[in-house]
Amino acid sequence: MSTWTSRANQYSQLSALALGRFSLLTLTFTITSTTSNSSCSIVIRQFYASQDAAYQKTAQEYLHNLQKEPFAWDLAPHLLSSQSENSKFFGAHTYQVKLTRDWKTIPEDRIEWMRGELISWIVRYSSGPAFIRTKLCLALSAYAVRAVPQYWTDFVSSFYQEMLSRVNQNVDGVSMSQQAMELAVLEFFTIIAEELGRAEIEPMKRAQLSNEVTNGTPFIMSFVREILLGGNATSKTKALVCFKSWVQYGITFDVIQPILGLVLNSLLDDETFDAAADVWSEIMSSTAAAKHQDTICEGLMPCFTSEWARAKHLESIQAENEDISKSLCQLLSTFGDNFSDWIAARFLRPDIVVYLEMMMGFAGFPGYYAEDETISDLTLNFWYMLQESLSELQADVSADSHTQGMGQEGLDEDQQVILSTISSASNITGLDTQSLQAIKKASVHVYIRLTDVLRKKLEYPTHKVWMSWTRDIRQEFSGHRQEIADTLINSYHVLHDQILSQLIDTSIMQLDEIQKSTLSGADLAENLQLEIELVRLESTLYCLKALSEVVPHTESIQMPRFFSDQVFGRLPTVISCRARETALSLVGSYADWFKVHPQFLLPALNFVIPALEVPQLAPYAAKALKNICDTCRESLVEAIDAFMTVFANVEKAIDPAIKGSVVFSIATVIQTLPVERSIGPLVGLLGDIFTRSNECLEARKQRLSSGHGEISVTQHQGSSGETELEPLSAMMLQQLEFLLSCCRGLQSPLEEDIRTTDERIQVYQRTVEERAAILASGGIAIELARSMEQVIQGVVMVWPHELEIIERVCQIVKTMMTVSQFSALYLPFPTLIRVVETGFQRHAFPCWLDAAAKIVSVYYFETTGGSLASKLGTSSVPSSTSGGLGSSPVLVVDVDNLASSATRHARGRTPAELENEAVFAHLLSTLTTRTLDGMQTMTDMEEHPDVVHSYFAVLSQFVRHAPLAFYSIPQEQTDSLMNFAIAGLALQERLALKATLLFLIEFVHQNYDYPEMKQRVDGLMTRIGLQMMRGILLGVGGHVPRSMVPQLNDCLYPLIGKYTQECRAWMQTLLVEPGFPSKHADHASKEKFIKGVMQTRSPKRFKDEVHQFSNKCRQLDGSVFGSAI
Amino acid sequence: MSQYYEHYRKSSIGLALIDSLDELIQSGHINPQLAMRVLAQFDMSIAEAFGSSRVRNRVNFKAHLDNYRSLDDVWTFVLSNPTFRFEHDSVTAEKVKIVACKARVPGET
Repeated sequence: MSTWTSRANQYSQLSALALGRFSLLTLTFTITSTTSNSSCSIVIRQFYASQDAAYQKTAQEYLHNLQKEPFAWDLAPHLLSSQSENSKFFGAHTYQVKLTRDWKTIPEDRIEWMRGELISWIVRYSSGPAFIRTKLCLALSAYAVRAVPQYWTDFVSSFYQEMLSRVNQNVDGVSMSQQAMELAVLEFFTIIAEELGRAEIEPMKRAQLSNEVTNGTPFIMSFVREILLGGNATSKTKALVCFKSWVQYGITFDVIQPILGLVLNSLLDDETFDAAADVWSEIMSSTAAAKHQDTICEGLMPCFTSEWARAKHLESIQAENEDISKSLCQLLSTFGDNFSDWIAARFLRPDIVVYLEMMMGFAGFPGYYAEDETISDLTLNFWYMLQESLSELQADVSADSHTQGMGQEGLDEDQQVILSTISSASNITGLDTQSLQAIKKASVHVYIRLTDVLRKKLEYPTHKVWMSWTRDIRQEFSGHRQEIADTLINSYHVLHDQILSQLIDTSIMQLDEIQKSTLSGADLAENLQLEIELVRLESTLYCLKALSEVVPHTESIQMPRFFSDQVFGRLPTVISCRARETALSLVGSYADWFKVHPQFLLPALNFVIPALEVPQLAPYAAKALKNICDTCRESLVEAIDAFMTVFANVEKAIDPAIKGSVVFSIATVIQTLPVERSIGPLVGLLGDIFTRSNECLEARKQRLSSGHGEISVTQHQGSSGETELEPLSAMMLQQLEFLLSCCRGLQSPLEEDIRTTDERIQVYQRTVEERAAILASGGIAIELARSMEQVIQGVVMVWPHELEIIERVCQIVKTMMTVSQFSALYLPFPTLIRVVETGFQRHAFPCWLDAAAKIVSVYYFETTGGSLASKLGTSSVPSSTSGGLGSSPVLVVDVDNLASSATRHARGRTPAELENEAVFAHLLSTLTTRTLDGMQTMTDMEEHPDVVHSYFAVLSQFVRHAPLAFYSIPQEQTDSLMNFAIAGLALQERLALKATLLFLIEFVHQNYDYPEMKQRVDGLMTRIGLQMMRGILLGVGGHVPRSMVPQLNDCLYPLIGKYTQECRAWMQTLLVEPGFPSKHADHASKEKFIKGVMQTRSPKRFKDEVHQFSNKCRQLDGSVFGSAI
Repeated sequence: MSQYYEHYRKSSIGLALIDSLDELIQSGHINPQLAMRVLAQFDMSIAEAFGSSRVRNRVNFKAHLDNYRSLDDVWTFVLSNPTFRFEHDSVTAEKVKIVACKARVPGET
């Protein structure tokens, strides 16, 4: 070690020993290894004693740095010899670190000496402290991983022999006892198995180690066996832990099999139970378990059903002792989870019955989950697995024929072959039909009991107890209820309507009890019994709610019982309690069932609507109403008038927070009415909302005209200290939310069902005609439309700069965009475009652009005369320039007035359609002017990525849906927006960058056979092609994040496909420049890239070329990281 | 040799990490080998984060199962018109593909 010591003399580090306390200051000085040994001990002592986190962090860094130094090899034995246990531990850790990191610095002639050194230290600390012994074994295992087999052959038995030879020998005044030796050997054997499974070892080395381990495992198993036979409890526990680590490592079943009997015996001993249970859990979860199912199951069942285990189970439940229960329950549950098929096939066996009883006991473990116990949820997965296994049970035909001597006589040979194949393919064989029926019958009893057990576990505590729980506990308890709900769904698959019957009967009994308790008063605070009864009822209702997912909508025996006066009619309607909340949720969850049983709708609504007025219940009632109205809208149409009357009565009392949901619900029912019939209910629904909206608008106008300036304050500091909307703006926002809810409710669920292009136009024209007819009749329909328009336009005028409000307006505008239906409330598309243009010009919020994108995708096709073919003529002129720009170098591009050009070729386009075409072009022009005005520099683009993103999303929509409009805007504007897109390739912000790339991909993919269009596209490419290529190559070369290279690839591939010659020239021009696109790309790689991408048309090869070049430019070529995605 | 699934690398957080590591490599702060180690750690940590009981969120969904397949312990389910129900919210989609892999014990080969 002297070599390493001498090297340490020049060691410099950032520390100082000052005034008796070792302060880690930023002073630099040179110390020797001797100094570092003493200072290290001081730092370790102070590190463990200090409460100062900053000091601890600095000390830790110092110690870690120390371990990197060569002289740390000497530091380790020095520290291990010290008096402080912390220093000893750090010494052992230093050995481990040095062996792992600096193995190659050990001179070859010192390698074997090092092993002896480590073993000596293990001997010295074999009696403890345990954490130092463990650390030393970790160091020895780090040594073994590197030294075996070259420097340490037959390491398992050699280590044991070495240890054995030192038993009772005195080393430095310490003598190792036989038991200490056993513990140390077991420790090493445990750790080596864990480390071999974990350590990153190169494949060749791993193979060598595996070979050594395979040779050594019989020895280890025999050692474990010896300890299990004759050791004391401590050694046995350690032996079991060691055994478990080898099972985990994956040694073969035949190696462990001889010891299984001893491990079973260990289960029946209090002191070794936990360790043995862990071993069995590991064995059962191993992949080999399935092959040895019978051995494991038949071995374990007698243990599970032994007097000892039953007594243990009973004791743990009676004493509510979670410590005893957890290991036992974990063991039984792991068994159940892994062998549910085996259990299902032997369902009637007495020992299985005992096992199921025990599981049932754990499922209903006393106390509230999370607060009192965490045992009961361990069993839930088993009940699910068991149900699956039970449902897969099939009678074995051969068993039937064998027992009955009948059954297959009528079958021909082929049928018998098929039957025997099915039979042999079945997981569980050997059951005759009778046994199967008996099992099914028994399983019903089990699951009926389970339902009752789980229902009880669902019960909430009383309000007072609940309030005393912490938030985490409450959340865990609620999560557990959800888990139980899922388990009940599995129970339904076993019990079917029996579970409904059971729960309904229970609820009837509980209602009787509630009735009795109510006699003592309905105040829950003073009537504990009533509260308890309501809690019980709640749990039953929760179970029924959970089952709504699986109860068939056509179920007509049990659920009608529930929704009759036997149960539903008796549910509490006066007291505000959880039972009512759950009952409301239950009603909502059965909306699909009500659709098939509309006769129960009215009582359900009579239960729900009054609850809207009760603050505690209102959210549940609103949700239930929403589900029912949405699902059963057709059934409720006839009751719309009554509905509106009820709404008018409760409207004032409804909390604004849920009024939107109620408005939505009613609007869904109105949606099913014919338009002329819908106007009256709509006025009833929105009258108050329009009135309040107009009041807000008037107040705002007055405020603005009173000299506050246009950008009048819309936000203020709230009571919580956060910025929020001032009251008038908040009130306006609220009214807009109600209008939005109404518009959403009026959307037909069939909106998506538009099919062919012809149909789309027909449907739209029919809608326009319908609108015209309705509005022509005048009256209240016009008033309704006008009111809506006034509110929308009014808000845009007086709140143009308030994002929250404008976002809501945009949502309303987007909701109105529909071509297949008409509502008097919806505004026609020219009005919508006007609103968007005005709003965006006043303040460039991205939501306006999103609304514009939707307008283009929804209306352009229908309003401008359909497809491009119908506008420009179906007989396209074969293009003379189809070979690319190169074959037609001089293009006369007429972009002065594309609309007139389109007119020449239009087939029967109406003046209105041509006018609409111009409207769309105007929209694009307006959006482009306003966006580019606000984006003068790259900094502007980086500061407003949301606007950039939305702008390119609109452009993509124009290129895809409205190319004529796209090329109708002035040429300088088109050039500007394309240059803007190319500039966008330099953005680092993903949101904006991705939208830019998607637009360019959309643009490059344009492919028109119409000369007018082609001329315009090619003309544009002539002007911007070189710059676009420059942007793409810069992106590939590293200016764009690597995760975006696929998008660049998607842009480059079609570009080269369409403009091959031009692209070659552009690339050659650009790539000849030194350092372009990256200083890491040399001439050869550029040449290879050009050749690669120009010569292949295989998308995969093209992608590979781009990927390789990109990696080269990013200095990632040849690295694994370069291929990480 | 990574013992963990690499499919989370293509998630938003994975791509962001790779882009950040790229930047560090290009600026000379780290080398690709270290970046690879960080990525391997990411594979492990994200598997542990999702695999352990730290994720308590629940979601139920209903959908029409268009088709499903299994290959090398990887199950693929193609669902149409699914409705995902969260605790307080629900989300619908036209189509969803679920790729399910065996949840390995961290470190298991």
